[in-house]
Amino acid sequence: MLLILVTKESNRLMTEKILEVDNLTTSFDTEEGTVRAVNNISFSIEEGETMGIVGESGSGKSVTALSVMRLIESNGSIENGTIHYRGSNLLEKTESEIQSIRGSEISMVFQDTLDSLNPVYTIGTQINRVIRKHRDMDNKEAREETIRLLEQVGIPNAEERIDDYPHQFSGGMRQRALIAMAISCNPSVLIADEPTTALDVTIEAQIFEVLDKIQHETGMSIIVITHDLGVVAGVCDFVNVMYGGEIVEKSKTDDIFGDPQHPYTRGLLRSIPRIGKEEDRLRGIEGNVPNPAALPSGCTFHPRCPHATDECRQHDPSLQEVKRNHRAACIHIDGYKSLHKEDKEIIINDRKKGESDD
Amino acid sequence: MFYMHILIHEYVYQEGTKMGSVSPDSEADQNKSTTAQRSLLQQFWKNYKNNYLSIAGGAIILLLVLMALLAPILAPHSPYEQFETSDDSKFHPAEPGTEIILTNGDGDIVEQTTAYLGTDNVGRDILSRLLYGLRTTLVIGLSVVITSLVIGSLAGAIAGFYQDSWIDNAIMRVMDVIFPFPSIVLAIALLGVVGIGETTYSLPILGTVAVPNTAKIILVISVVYIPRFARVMRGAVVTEMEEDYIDALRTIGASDFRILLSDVIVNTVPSVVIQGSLYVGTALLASAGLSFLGLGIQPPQASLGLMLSNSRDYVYSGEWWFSVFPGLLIAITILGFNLLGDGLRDALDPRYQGEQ
Amino acid sequence: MTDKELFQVSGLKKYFDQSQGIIDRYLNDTDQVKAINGVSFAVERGETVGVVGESGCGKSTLARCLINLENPTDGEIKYKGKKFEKFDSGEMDSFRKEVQMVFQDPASSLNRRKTISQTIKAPMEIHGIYENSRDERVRELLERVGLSPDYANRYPHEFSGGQRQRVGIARALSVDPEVLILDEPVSALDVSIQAQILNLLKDLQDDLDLTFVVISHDLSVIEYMCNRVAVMYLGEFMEIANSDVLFSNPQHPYTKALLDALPQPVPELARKRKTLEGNVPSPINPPSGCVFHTRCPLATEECSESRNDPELNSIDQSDENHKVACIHVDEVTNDNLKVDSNIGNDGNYEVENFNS
Repeated sequence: MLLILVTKESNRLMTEKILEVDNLTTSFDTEEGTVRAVNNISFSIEEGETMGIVGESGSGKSVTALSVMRLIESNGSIENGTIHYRGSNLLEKTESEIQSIRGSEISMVFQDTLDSLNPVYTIGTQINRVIRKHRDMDNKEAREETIRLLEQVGIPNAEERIDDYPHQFSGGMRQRALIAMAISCNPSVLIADEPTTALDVTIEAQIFEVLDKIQHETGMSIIVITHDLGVVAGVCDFVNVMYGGEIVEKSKTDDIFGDPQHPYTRGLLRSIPRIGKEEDRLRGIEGNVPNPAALPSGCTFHPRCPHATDECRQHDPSLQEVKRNHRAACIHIDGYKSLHKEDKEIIINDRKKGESDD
Repeated sequence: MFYMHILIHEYVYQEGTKMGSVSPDSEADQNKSTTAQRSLLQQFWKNYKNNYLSIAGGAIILLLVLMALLAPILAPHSPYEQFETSDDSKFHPAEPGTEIILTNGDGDIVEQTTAYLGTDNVGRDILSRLLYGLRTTLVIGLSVVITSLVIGSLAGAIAGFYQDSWIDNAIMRVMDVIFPFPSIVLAIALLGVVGIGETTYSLPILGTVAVPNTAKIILVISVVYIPRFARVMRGAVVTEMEEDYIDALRTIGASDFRILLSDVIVNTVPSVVIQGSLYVGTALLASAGLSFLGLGIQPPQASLGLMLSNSRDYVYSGEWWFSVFPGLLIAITILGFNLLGDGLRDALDPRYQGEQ
Repeated sequence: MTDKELFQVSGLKKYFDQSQGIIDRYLNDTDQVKAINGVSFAVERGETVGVVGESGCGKSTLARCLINLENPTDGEIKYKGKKFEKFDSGEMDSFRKEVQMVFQDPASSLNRRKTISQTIKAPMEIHGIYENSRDERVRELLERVGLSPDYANRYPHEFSGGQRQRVGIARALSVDPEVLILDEPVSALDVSIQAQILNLLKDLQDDLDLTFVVISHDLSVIEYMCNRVAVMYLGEFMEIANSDVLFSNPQHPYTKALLDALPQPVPELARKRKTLEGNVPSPINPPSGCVFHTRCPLATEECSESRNDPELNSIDQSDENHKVACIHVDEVTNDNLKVDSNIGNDGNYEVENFNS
């Protein structure tokens, strides 16, 4: 009896972190040499949590998702690291073991809804197929389950719409159908890669409402991958900010947005015009998004960073604890004590201006 | 041959429908070559030279063209001279590698030599006829493709530029009428109209115009190929017209003429050139087919198709060299053009890049 | 009509025939997409007018009508007091010079086979200006938009998206325009690049006295750029007002819904995002009465009656710029919308940090 209890207890402890990624490095062989798209990143997610990975193009956020799903194309490979799902390393699994996990334990919603659905099969057939692959159901049961899923994701008249083809659905409806497909086998982790990028804001809000509802009902964990800080602010419990294949800052959502530490995160937040705030200029980030094939030395952000010093050019900083549960990868992190005098003046001026605006 | 057409038609449709789906390269790709400044020609050469098969194709074509151009120098004899076999002094076929003799009217031996590839049924040197025949055949193949490429792509470009207008409908319906005919059947029908051999026409302004047989054949086969180029060009132009830069040009007041000539055609010509290089082979085959049927180049002129046609009666009697050598040369020529075409396509069409 | 008015649009309608089979076309059995369905407004010199709406609301078609790329189905557009149709060729030329457009997709708005310099020169060539100093002008313009003049001879593929958009802006500026029509100028760009382009546009407006018409789906971009904003839904304006009024005191339920759904990078606000139910109805068969009634939380029977399609009306005597098309406008209170810039942070992180 005691033994059973102990086993249960240890199981519970083990499943607390449902997905743990450690020191993951994924690289691709290209014409321009080896491109390290994801460089030594670590994160973990607990049951029922929503985690955000936010970054601009080329930041490695999508490759991170594909690495977790082990869907890296043939010219790429996971060089290093571990991906533990419920305690077992996904990188040590065979292809067939992975296939049984993909879709049923960890599933993914992609961005492009037109490409993700096969145009020659009905929505119902496509969801049916996934259900029958992973769950022990006959055709009729699977169909009923499909209808239930479509209703769950908020498709009206699900019984009729189940026999529609993808082109008969609007963009928002297709995204709902893809979510229905992704959750059809009750996955524990759902990875949503730019799930609403092609959609209007009102439809985007609907999609996240559906995801939120499903999360409450099933307790699954969601990883949202996006370039949109507004989306992250609204739906995520905690956030990883990626730049040049690395995580440069991670913390709870409120801390990231309320007290961002890394100069990149700060710049990114300043780049977005705020409703209701008079701004003459956006004080964003200078320069271009780096090419993953030719990343700068040292801190990958240094060419665009207003605080960069020689040290930044040589030394690639690792994530360090700034506050409790708030980590950032910047050597100038200590409250920007090393700021130049001019910078301080600009900030003070801005502050005065902000006060007078209010 | 028919199968080949099907393949090519599929390609044509792809060309029309999928060109637009070339996804705009990601930010990462865009950054790639900011460092190196590279002209498009250099880019093309870089892509092309890494494809060994297309280099081989280019080399084959170059070699064949040189052979055809230098036929008078390379050919050991005139293609019309009739040789006798040295053993019985009769005008009958000599096997490859045997001694042959040329006599004048009085029966004196003018020349004694070896027929490396044998002689044909009337004693003409196969090697010499091959070289001259290649000349005729290449001239026909290339002329057909150039004629139909120019006319077809102009028609297609205009149709695509004014998509869905009456002019588009008019042009493309005419093309649709021509398109479904098998090339040989249509060519035969058209030859039936214009007749075989040189014809003189008396025209109102130009006076009498003599149209040689070769020109007729070129024109007839060109008609067959015009719709193919028109379709490829129209498809390419239609997708090109969706690009924003066309609208940008309109908003700055550029005329249709300028947009079509200086922007649209510049961007779409590569796709018809690719198509053109692939069609040289089939055009060759069509001209050979016509000759084979006795409707193309007329004897005694040498052409590869005609040589093949002549060999028809000797297939069972054992004179294998009649058919094998011209057949091989036709095959090699077509292979060369196809390899070249594939290479051009890979190098010019971004869709195929990185797939090798 | 005052001298200040550059554009005057009244009762503008633009319908597209849904392209169908040839038979349907002759039977006149075509569906019409009502992209713009009765829109009136004016653009004054020096101001920035924004048009905001979801995809398919007709905002891009509106931009294309303004720059005379599409012919309106009904209604009229006057530029400097004269209708487009009445332009003689000289007036059309100067319109094409004075009004320029910047496109959404920087990958597609530049001809990929032309160098940056060729692209920027094209408008000058067409209008025959800067005859002897075009190269100089190109360098000047590149510098003006924040690119190195040494890039002039590069091709678009060597640039990132943001850089290409700068080139697009340089092209528009090359003929010294008075009006720029910006169709989603930043929506294809990375967030950090968007801010750079928006800043650049603002600087240019200040330096060159430009008038902007900004088309965007992004309310924050519109708010940052514009003096006056029109909210568009299914081809009609729902509300038009000065920017500060519209964002602080929105009256139309749709405007409020858009603002509610906007994902702001402030967790406190973003978590309170409200959802507008339903999808945008098909513009082929828009709802009767008020087009928004199918999704409107305030809709009553009255709203769906076709005679009740509300017109844009001033709601406040003191502010004639603020017009709303809703019969329930008095009932719309501001309770469900508070955009409070004091919630969360206001972007001045350094300050807090610096003090601590």
